[in-house]
Amino acid sequence: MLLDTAYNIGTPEGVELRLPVAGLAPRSLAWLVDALIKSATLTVLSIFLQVFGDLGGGIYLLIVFVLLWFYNVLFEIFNHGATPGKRALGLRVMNANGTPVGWSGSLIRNLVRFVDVLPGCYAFGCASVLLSKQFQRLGDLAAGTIVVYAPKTQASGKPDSTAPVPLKTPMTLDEQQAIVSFGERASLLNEERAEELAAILTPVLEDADRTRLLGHANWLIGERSSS
Amino acid sequence: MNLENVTVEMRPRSEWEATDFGARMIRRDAAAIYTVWFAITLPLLAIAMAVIFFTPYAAYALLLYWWFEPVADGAILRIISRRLFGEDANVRATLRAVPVLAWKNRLFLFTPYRLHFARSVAMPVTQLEGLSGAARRARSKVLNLKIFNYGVGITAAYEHLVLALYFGIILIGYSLIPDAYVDTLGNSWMDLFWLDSSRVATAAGLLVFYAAQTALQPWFVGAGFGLYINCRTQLEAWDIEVAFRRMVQRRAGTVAAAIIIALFVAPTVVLPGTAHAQDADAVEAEQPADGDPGFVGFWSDEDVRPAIESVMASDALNTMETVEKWQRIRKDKPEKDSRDRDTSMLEAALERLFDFISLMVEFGLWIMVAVLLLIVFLTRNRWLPYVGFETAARPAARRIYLAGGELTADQLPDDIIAEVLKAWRAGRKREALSLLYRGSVFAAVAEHGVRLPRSATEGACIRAVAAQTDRARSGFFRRVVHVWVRCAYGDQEPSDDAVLPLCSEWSQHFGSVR
Repeated sequence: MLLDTAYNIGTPEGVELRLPVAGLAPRSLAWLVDALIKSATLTVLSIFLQVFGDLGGGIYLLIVFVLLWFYNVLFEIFNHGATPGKRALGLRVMNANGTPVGWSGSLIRNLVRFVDVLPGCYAFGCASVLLSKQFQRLGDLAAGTIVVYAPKTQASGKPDSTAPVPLKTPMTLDEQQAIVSFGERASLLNEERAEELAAILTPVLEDADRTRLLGHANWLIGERSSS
Repeated sequence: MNLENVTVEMRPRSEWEATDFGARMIRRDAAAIYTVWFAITLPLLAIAMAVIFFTPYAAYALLLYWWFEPVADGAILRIISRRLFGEDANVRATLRAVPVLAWKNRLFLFTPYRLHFARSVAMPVTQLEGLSGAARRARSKVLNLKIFNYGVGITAAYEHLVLALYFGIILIGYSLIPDAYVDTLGNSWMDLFWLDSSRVATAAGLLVFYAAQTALQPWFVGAGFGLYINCRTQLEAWDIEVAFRRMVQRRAGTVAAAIIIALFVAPTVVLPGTAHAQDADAVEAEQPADGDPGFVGFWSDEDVRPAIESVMASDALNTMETVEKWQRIRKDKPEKDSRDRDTSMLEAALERLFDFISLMVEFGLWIMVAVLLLIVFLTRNRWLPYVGFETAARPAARRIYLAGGELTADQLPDDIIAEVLKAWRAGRKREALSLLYRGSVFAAVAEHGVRLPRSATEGACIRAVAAQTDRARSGFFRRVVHVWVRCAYGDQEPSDDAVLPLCSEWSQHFGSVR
């Protein structure tokens, strides 16, 4: 089997879901962003709440408690599995079976965070992320959750004005997809490289070249010549 | 390099995903990688230790170790890049190649480029493509456009993680000391690591740093390589090439045929400049040494030169840009005197200003508290039931959602039956029956506390009323609904005999409250 980053699961309906799990570097940076947000919030609050004297101090301690224990939980539940830091890095927490994370999953993973932090600098968590198969820290393992890259809506390549050319050779779905993605990305390649790629297909499609492949790609995505 | 033998799933990934992809490659060959890592770094560590104990330059030992550690990075890079294309992770061959690799990476070992912020993505260019000088700079420029920021990102992430692990290991050690001894040790144990300058302390610090780096450095190298490979996959559409070659292979049936095609078709095009297709051959530029002819022999300089020159002369590479920006012009003297004179006044004024601001903020906060309390009080009906108190039941306020939308009191006239009769006599039969139906539903809910499901259909209303009121009322309600349903959906207009009795009986069952 070829090495891949995505983690594939099959649903009972026979649909294959590809979950791109996220590893150490982006997760650490997301943590850093969250840590900065939390400490900035607390600093600003501590300045303003001083005006209230002891009452302010009490409120401040309550806020510290909520922020430290429930910041992640609340954001994960109500913000599609993403704290602001995770959102900044394009990450999202979900259950290992691909469903949205719920209260129990989120609470467990964030309570066990205090084991990951041990012995003080996230050493256990880092080791777990590097060694586990789906980049899970101990909290994730306990709660059965994973951190994935939120799907980005990516603009497909510019539609090319090449006239569609019907594809006569029978092709598997993967092969058709390869030709379509050639059509989408040909404009990003320089012309020689595109020709070189097209030339690979000579044994399959006679006189395969860039323009012809673009035509096939347009035909495959459903374009038909207007005449 | 042969893309047919590629051992990973090639597809364009997002940059962060590419770093994880590198981690996967490290994990797959962790055994070979760590063998090579220890074979290279342990001697280096030994040299650093010797410096600590046998020379007066103990303080520089850590720097020495850290500076030359990238030698091992090069070896790791060699292993994962070869494994990417299906070759074996040969530990012996890798170790034999270390001097060659070190020379290729001389820029990052013997010059200030050691401090390069994105070294992990810059090293593949020198080592795997074998570029140096202007060629390297030009190539780096192309790659840096896409991945330099991410290269810096992983450097920042991993260097901080090394530091975190460094302190983490020290904390583990500290937590393993029994409490009784901790008291006697006081702070001196911790001081050992960052204040003490004795040789033992320096050596211990170096060992801990080495342990932390051992845990993380290979993953850092892998992340950089992942970024590099992903960048080239995107620039040169490697994934499409792989897919196309598979397509050819599937039809040709034999691997041999595909290789012949690769040999004769691929070299027909020469690509200098930005996205080098021939670098597909140069990912391992050491092939000649290893006896692999690669594709290098197919081109002579004369063939390539014109193409290179035409591309280098093209507009894309020769754009000039004028950037204008504002710059502050410093004046040296004038303000100084006046400022001295005004200082005390200014301070006093500022103090008053701050007093005023803090007073305002205090008022503001108390007002906010008052507003919050007011909101809590005003919304008591919403939250009191949750805390266990019953609020005064006001069935009339209950909202009614019928299948067609929400039904509210202001949709209905005050005297429903009068309006119904008026409409009926005027021949607007459908309107009359609709009003009768809605009035009955509203009355059933408002006066008799019937609970309806959301988006209740006519049938649902009948069932709800039948279940929650007495027999006579629900029988009457059923008649109303049937008349309405026949008219509305069956288009059968009822006769006066069917409707007028309903109007006269209505007040017996409904309408007591309004």
